[in-house]
Amino acid sequence: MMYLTETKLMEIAKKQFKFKLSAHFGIFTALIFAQILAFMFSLSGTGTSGFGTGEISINTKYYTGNIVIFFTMIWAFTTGISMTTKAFKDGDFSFVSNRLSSHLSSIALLLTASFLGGITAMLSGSLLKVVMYYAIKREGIMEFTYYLPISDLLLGIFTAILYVTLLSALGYVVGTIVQLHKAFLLLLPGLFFGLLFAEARTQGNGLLAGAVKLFAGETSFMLFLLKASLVITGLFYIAITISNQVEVRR
Amino acid sequence: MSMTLSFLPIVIMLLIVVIVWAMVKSFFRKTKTVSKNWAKSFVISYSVILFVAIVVQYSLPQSENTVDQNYLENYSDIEFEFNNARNKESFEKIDGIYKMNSWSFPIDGDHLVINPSSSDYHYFTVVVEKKEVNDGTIDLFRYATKHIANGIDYTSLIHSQDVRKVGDNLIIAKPSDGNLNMAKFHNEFTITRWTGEKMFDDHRYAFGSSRLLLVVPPNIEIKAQENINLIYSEK
Repeated sequence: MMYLTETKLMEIAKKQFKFKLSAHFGIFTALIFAQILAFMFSLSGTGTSGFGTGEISINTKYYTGNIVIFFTMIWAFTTGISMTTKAFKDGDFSFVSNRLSSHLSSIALLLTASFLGGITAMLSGSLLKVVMYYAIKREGIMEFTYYLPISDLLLGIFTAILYVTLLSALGYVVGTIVQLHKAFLLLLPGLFFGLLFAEARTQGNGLLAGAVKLFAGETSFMLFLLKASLVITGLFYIAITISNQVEVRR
Repeated sequence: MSMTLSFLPIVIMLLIVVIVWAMVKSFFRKTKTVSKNWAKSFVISYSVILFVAIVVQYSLPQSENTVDQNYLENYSDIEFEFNNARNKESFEKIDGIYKMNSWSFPIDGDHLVINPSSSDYHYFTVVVEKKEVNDGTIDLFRYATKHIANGIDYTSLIHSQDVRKVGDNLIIAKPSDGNLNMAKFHNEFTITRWTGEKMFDDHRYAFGSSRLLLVVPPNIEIKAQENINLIYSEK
């Protein structure tokens, strides 16, 4: 059963989402610029290997869209943080709204942006391969041809969307925590570097590596989807709960 | 020094984060000033380019330059057969063999001395086969098995020896080293983490080898320097 208040909440959130999408369309422009920057870095190759046989020395350059995905994840993280800033939330005053509708609209925008980010990140990899294919042909370098089944491409797109959404949700939580107290602006990076040092001491058996392995070590896509969905939902829930604390204190 | 270098990836990562962060911040601010129509056109144009790229990607050739997987699987047997070939007939019946070069020189004496070029140390094997009849010529052939890297047959890029006959001497100079630049497209980690595909695929290499076959009239005695391995054909 849906109550009148719930309908109103969803309607307001929907209106806010439309407003935010229009007012902050710049996040998509930022996404494209981030991907173009990553694309430029990728043009020189993402790895090299070389060996000699006594008759010939063979140098191989590897091209992949990994850098584009990596940059998109950073974009998602920073976008998540940006959505918790005062400048972003100022738009909420244009509506008769509450904190929950504001969060829901921001989360909807973040999910939309992450969805688009994940798709374009993967497709940028294809653009890179097409550009390099013709560039390589012109330079007379022998190329190793490459085939990607559509099912694998789709799997890659879904996985990229999940990674990008995870990072955006993490950014949203980090941004919300920083709103709790500005001291977190220093404490959180400190905690991150502390964890990095702990990783070095524990030889990759620390908390950070554990969190990465939770996703990177998963071999079943369905379990990965389940884990990612749970963590994303959990992160947004934490952000909303923390935000309520902030508002109550103020 | 190594301590400083170990921080380098973190510094680079932070720099990237700062750059992307600055981009996001600047575009958050610019939304009001930059024309929304311009921004929308920009996003639509980019999406169209990506869509065209994916269509073009699937129209690119998929098997150009790639080597038959059966050859790679039988590579060690082929190499064994190649190393045990003792005459022209046995060389030429090997699967996928290349006759890379051939030279013919007249000979009127009763012996031939094989020398590497004086300028370099060059160890190599020459298989010697005697002809049935004396036709007054020596024939030298260079055979090679397929040289494969990343699934590409690059045998044609292997440089040949420079061969000259000066009097009774057959001078075989070391070939200059070739250079091959290759490019390999690799799927993104969001795909390879499921498919298990590795960037450095060891199964698509066959280093190959080459060998010289010298076919001489029956009366010719062959002499060679110690760094030349002579193998005589078994009749």
